[in-house]
Amino acid sequence: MEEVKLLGFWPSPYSHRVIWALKLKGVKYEYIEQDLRNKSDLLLQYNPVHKKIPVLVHGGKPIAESLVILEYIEETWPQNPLLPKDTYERALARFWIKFGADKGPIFSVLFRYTEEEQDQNAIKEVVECLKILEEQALGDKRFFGGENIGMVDIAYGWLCHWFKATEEMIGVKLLEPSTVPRLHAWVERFKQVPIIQENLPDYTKLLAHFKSLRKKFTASDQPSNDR
Amino acid sequence: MAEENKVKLLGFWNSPYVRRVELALKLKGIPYEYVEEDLKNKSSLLLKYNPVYKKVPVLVHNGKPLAESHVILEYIDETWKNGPPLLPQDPYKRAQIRFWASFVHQQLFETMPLVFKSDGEAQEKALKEVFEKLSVLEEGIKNIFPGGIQIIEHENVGLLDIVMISVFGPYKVYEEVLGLKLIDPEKTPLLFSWLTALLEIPVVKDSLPPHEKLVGFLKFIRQDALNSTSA
Repeated sequence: MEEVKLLGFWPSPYSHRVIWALKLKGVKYEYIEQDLRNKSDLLLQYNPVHKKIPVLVHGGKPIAESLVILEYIEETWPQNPLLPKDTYERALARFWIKFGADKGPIFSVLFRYTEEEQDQNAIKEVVECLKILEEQALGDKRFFGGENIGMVDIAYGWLCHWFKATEEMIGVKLLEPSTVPRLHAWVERFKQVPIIQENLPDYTKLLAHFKSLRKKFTASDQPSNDR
Repeated sequence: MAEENKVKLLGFWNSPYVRRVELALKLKGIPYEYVEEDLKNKSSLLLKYNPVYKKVPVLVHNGKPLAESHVILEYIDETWKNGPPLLPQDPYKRAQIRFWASFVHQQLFETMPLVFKSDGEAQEKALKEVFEKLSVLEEGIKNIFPGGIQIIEHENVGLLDIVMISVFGPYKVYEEVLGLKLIDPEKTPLLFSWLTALLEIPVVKDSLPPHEKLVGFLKFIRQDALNSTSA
């Protein structure tokens, strides 16, 4: 069995996607925490193109970009499959994963929302997005993946602690039982899946980290993917 | 065409995303019905089949719709296994293809419009970024084409080639409109030989939009953008 290493960053939801997938498949790996303000030679060597985490290194060969890594994990360790067998259903799963990636900027804008700016458009766009997810992607299923969690659930895992911390930080509640009841129930259910529950960052620490990031953004107005 | 395997593609003549799907279908020899959409007056079919984005391409296979070109390409590859594969078998090689396809799409394709829609310093800055990224791509694909590129056979055209062609296939049009070299055989020899080899393949060459029509379209876009930003 070839060695598996994961270069990650504790508050990163992208890092956590990879951790969840590896653990769900029972793959043993060595986790190497990265300091993104002081990037290691290892990170620069393994991801010279983007210089970002997560990077999975399998038998010395690096793979970057969390969604590319998830597909690699699925294909390399087929036990406990995270994508449906049926090709059409798989395509739908990939569609919803891509939807989340496309809508990323909308959530980034929310991160910088302030009451003074009164950017109601940002709020509106996020709510619209959550509603589409609830109505068209999740529906009445327990998880996006059906009875058990799959790659789509993993891709949207940031909706728990990370989105909640954003809501608390900006003082606006959007993912509520009153607005998106089924999605809200999914978040609670997802957090209680043992592998997920055991592999979430400390909420208080995460909130503090977000607050300090926001101070940096609102000061320099520079977007960052380091979270 | 057998009813059990009916394929319809909703598209638009100038969409690089649609071109990707058409090329994939043609490479695999999959018969399909093409429906040109008027994007200023979207059909009820398009709105029904792609309610989330209301965009093309949409592939409809036996009545079941799929949107998003990357998703469609992987679906085509997994569903029609008898044609040439769009992705290699080895998971690591597949990961490399997906990584670079994402790079071409996000890092290059999405920054190209600014090059056309600006001039002066803004354009110089956008161009600098594009050239930097082309260098990164040149370096990165050395692992995918370790022996360099001379000839590419029809059956070896894959997902990354398709994405590259959809973005840079018409590079001579871009060079004409912008009045500069974009894919320079001196600066990015591998990219230049890659595109040259791909454009030798008839089905790939035919997938490009008509040269003059695209020149006209891009010149219009550029003029329109520059007029709206001038004082």
